[in-house]
Amino acid sequence: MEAEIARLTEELAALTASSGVTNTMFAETFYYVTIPLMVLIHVGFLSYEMGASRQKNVLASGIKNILAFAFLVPTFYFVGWFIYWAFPNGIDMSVGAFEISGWDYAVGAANPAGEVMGPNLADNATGVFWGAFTLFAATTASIMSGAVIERIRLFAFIVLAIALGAFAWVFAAAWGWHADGWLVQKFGYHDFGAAGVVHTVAGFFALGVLINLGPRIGKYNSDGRANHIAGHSMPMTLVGLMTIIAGFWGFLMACVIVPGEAWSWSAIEFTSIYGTPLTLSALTFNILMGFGGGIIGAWVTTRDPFWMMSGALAGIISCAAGLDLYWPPLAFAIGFAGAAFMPVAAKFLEKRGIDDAVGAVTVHGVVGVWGVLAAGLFAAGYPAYQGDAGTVATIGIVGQSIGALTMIACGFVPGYLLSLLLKSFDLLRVPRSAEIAGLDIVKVPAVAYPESLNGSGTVAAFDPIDTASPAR
Amino acid sequence: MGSSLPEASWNTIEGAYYTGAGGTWEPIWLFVSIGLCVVALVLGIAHERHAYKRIEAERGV
Repeated sequence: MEAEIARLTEELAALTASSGVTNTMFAETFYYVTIPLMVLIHVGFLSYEMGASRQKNVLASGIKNILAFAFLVPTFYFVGWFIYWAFPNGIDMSVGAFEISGWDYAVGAANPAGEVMGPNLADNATGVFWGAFTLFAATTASIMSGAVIERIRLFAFIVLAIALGAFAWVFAAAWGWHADGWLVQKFGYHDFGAAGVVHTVAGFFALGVLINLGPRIGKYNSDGRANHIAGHSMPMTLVGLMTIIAGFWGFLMACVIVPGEAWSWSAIEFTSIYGTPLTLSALTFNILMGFGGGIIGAWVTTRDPFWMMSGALAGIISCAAGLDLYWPPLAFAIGFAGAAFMPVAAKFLEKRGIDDAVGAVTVHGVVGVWGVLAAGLFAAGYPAYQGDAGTVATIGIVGQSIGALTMIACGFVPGYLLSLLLKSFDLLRVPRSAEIAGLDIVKVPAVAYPESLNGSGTVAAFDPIDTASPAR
Repeated sequence: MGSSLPEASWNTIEGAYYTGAGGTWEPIWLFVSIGLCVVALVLGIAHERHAYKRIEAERGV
C-alpha cells in the first residue's frame, strides 16, 4: 500500500512538473505569436502610407515607415522597457501598490545591460513581453508617420519617432496601463486595448508635430480653402488598412495576461494587464462588433472607401478601452458612433490648417479619446484592478476624463515642443525645391514604378496641385 | 567574449547563457549599439543635406 502511494505521489509530481512546463511553453508561445501578428500592423501602415503618397514620394514614405520600426527596436530595448517598469507610481520611481514597479524592480526586470535582457534558460517571459511592447512602441511611431508624409525630413522624423515610441507613450503606459500605475490606482483608469495609452498619445503627438511642420505645398489655396491631395494608389491604401485590422488581433492578444505562471494574475483564467478577468471570446465578440460598427458608421457619413476602412480602425479603437467588458451590440454602437464622427473631426482640423495626410490625428487621437471616455460612460462601476470590495478604485467618467487629459498631454506636449525645437534649427521640413521635385528623385536610389510614364524617380510631368501656393 | 559556459557542456546550464554572460561585456556592447544608432543618424543627416543642396542647385527653387 505504502509503495503504491509513493508511486502515485511520484507520478503526480511528474505530471505537475510536466503540466507546468506545458503552461510555460504555452505562455511563451502565446506572446511570441502576437509579435508576427503585430508586424502585420506595420505591413499595413507601410502599404497604407505609400498608397496615400503621390508617386513622386512613394519610396521616401516607405523608407520613413521602415526606419521608424527599425529605430524603435533598439531604443525601446535601451530605455523604453526600463521606463515602463520604473515609473508607474510617479516620476520618483517609487514602488507601487502591487510592488511590481519602481527603480529596484526595473533594474531587476528591465536593465538593458543585465542578464534578464538576453538569452536565459531561467526566463521564458521577458523576451516575448519586451517584443510585444516593442511592437506597441513601433505602432505609435507608425501612427505619427502617416500624418507627416511628403514633407518631413527623415532625420527629424526618426528623432520624433524615438521620442514618441521610446519615451512619451511609455510614460503614459506606465501610468495608465500597469496595475501599479497611478492613474489606475487613484482614479480607476481602465484602458484594456490602449485606446488612450497608444492611440490618443500617438494621435496628439502627431498633432503637435503637424502644427510646426505645416501643410504640404498645394494643400491650401491662397484664400485658405483646402485641396484634396490624392494618394497615388487607393487600392494599396485600402489593403494596408485591412492588414492593420489583421494585426490588431495580435495587438489585442498581447494585451492579455496568460494564467498559471509566476507572473500571472490568475492560476486559471486570462486577465487584463490590470489583473481583471476576461476571456478571448469576450474580446472576439467586441473586436468584430466594433469593426463592423466602425465601417458602417463611416459608410453612412462618407460613402468613401478610404474613410470606411479608416472607420474599421476607428470602430475598434472606440471600443478598445472596454473591449473586455462591453455587451457586443453596445460595442457595435460605440464603434459606429466613433467612426461616424471621425470625418467631422477631420474636416474641423483641415479647416484650421492642419494637413493630416491620412487622418491619423482623427482616427487615433480624437477617436482614442472617445474610446477612453466611452469606458467611463458605459462601464462605470467595475473594479479597475484586483482587490477586495471597497478597497479598489472603480471605473468612472471622472477617472477616464483625467486619464484622457493625461494621454493628450503625454502626446501633444512632447510632440509640439520637440518639433518646435527641430524647426528652430531648420531640421524639421524638407526644402521647397525637394518637396516640389518629389522626395524619391531627391534622395532615394531606387525607382518605385520604373516602367510608369509618370512614376517615382521622375519629376511629375503633370501635377494638378497649385505649387505656387505658400507652405504655411 | 565567446562561450560563457563554464565547461564545454550544456548539462549544467540553467540561467543566462549568451555570449559573455556574467562578464563585463554587456554594457560595452550596449554602448556600441547605441553608438551605431547615433552614427547612422549622423550619416543620415549628411545624406539628406547633400541631397537637398543638390536639388536646390539643380532647380534653384
